[in-house]
Amino acid sequence: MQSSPSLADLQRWMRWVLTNPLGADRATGGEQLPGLPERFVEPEARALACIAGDPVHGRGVVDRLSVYASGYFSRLHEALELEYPRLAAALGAEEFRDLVAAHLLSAPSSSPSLADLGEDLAGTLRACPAGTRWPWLVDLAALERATAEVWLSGPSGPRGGLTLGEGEDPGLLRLAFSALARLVRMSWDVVDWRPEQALPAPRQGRLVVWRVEATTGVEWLDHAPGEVLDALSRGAHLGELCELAATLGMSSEHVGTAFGHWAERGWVGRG
Amino acid sequence: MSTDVQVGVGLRPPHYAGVLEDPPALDFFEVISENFLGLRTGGGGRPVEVLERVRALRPVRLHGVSMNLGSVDPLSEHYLARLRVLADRIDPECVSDHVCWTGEGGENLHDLLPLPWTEEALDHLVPRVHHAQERLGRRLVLENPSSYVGYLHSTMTEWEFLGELARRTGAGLLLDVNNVFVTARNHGFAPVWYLDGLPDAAVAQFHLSGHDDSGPLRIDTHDRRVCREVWELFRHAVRRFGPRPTLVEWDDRLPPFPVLLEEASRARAILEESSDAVLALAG
Repeated sequence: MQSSPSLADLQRWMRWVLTNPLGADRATGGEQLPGLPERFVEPEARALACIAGDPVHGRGVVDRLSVYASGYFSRLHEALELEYPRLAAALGAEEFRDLVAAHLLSAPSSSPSLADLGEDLAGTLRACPAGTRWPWLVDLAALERATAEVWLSGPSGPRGGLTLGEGEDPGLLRLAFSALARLVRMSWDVVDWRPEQALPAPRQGRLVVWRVEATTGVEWLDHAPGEVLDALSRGAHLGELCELAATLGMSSEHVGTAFGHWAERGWVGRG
Repeated sequence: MSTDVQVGVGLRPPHYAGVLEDPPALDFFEVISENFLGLRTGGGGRPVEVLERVRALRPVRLHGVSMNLGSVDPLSEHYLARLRVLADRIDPECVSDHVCWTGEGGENLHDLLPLPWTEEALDHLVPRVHHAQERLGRRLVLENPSSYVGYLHSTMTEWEFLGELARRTGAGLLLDVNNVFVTARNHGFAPVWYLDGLPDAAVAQFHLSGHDDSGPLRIDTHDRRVCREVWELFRHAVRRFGPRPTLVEWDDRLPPFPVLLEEASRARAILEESSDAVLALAG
């Protein structure tokens, strides 16, 4: 055992013990959980012996480590609960806690901002038993994330309209999808669904989640406009978008109306 | 009222509407920097739009919790660049963070984890503070966090470490008086030793907050009023260092805003006592 670990060894061991799903007490006691990612293998250089503690109940070394270990989980749990209030309510306390634990194992925070922690909670949920049992909750998670993302994106500001410049080839025009909008593919209508209600109705399609200043909103798109807006968000030229729209059976009038609506909403504009 | 006395409160989202509608008699607001950095993909979103409106009313201080200055991981250039953009946009009175580490191995624990007070840690920290100050284009102010863990291989006291760090980097110290008290109680030393051991010129700002004293260890919770002992320690700090911009922090179980204003008024009264005493001596 090293009595004076290097700073690197100390931090590696502290990170191991403070994020360990067993808790500081069981982790320092030598317990191991099978199947955990490699970062939960105890580092060779143990730092336990260099931590000061008192021979008083509640003030020992493990008690002190546990303050940080429990704070780690509760802080990240709270951040996700704030971002996903409807999902947390629908799952209930125990299932949501299990989801957070699974998420921290598979997607630990790598960002200075807690806003990035829940980036793919829907993906974690999809891989959990709860996501298989209640698949509409995966859609609900995606919807809540999109709402958080438009809130934290921007700043908002006027976008250029869709008017063509002189001599500009409309077919090569590339429109930009607003940072204040997100397209979300859905299989269930969970927009207004509440856990106390009956199961949500199945509904295949795309939602646009958007923000203007302090107002956020959601709007369903029909299949064809949804496909076109999705292609636009992935960088297709206007010419490609018109071809796609025609393939999907949209009339030119319908295309014009759709683009006008999207521009008016601020979802698309000149890149 | 002494003109060199400045008192502010930590501004949190539930306060925004009231503050914008009826700006309180405070000298500045402090906000958590990371809450205005938006997503890693860029932009600060609606929070920055609101902060710009607050900034039009009062000076703002940016207080960070994720610079990760003490970590053995490389400093995040992406983070520093985003913070620089925010600071250039808001023009804060100061940018502060903590003397701690917050992550390792690319994983962020989102906590203010204690460093050992060793020459190795100091030598590690000094160039990183210099680098951050250079990237941000301004002097950093660094806060002492509360701690629950201490290391047996520390070779100096926390206040010696902070004093030396300030001397070698030119950074200011944000002296969190509550954190001094919590740390002192948790590690068994007298909090006045800490205050009396710091170089007075380095102290640039004070923080005050409440903590949980119900268990064997004091926990820095920011969820209640400042306790009597911390007010007494604050009075000692103001006598020792003179009046400095002082902030009341309250993050959890937020009370009605007038309660925060009461705490701020109490801090102001203590700062003014000291300021008036200095003026009397000078006169």
